[in-house]
Amino acid sequence: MNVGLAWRPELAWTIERNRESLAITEFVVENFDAKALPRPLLDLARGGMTVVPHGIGLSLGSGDPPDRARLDRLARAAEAVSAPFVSEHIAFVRGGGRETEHLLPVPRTREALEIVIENVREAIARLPVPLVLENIAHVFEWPEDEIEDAEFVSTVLRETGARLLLDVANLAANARNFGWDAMCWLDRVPLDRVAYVHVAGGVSGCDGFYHDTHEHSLAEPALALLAEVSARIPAAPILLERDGNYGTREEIEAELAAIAGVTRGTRRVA
Amino acid sequence: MSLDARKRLAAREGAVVAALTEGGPPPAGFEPKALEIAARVVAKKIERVGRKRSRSFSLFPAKR
Repeated sequence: MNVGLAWRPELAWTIERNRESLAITEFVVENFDAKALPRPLLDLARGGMTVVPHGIGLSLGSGDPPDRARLDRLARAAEAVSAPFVSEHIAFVRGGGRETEHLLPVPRTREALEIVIENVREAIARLPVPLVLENIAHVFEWPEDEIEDAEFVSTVLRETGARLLLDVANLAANARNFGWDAMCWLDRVPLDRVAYVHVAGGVSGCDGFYHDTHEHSLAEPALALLAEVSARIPAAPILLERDGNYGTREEIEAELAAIAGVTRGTRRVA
Repeated sequence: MSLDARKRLAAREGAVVAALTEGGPPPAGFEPKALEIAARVVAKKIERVGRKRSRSFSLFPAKR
């Protein structure tokens, strides 16, 4: 089963119980001291599991170049777990001296595209392993957007050599909230450059918006999209993210089983 | 890319962040309602991250 579960302290026991059947895990770099990572996480890496440092704070879509200290921290984390690559996002998280703690969409203009490419190249030059970039769930779109998202993402990957962390839940959320055509998006990005896949749960709010919370069960549209992605790139590992409302170990294992079922084509999706 | 382009992007993103985190006016071109949902999402995230950082979590809690 080419399935994984994101490492969180609350999920450490679930991962330990299932370590023989899990192919991959990842941890949020900003949540830990890269020089003193949790022992269970290091044990997984030493035991041969692929462990990916996942950054959320580089802000590669900012007007400022990526921060050297954050890059060094990501590099140290990669070395600590012998990671084959590290991952980050095509997004910005701060501006005007304020932190948002949330991944925000970059304006899809040609000018911003060039800046993202420069930032990503600078990050790659300072990292000891390849960089993988994730598509995010948008919470708004810019009025000045002039490039389709698939083209924006594809150009960044092509011009920098970075690979793609394909988040199907984010893509499904963008299709639901902004009317994107997810299938066309998949047609237009280089799926041969996918390093691994993310999936997570969310919920439809009273505001009419689908919220990619990582705190709810997997939604049917994300599972349907996952089935499509799995059919197109069957070898790509699929990693379940959960960041709250962890429930019981059995509930998480049921989510992992649902993912495995989708990838085997044994679970019907709407 | 020129320094001016970076400054333009930083200013535009800074204005959005101010609107999302401090209730500032929507930046030029945005519909007034376009950022309301985003502001709620960001507020929740800031609160959640603050809560997580304010507690220490141990895999091996001390016996009580």
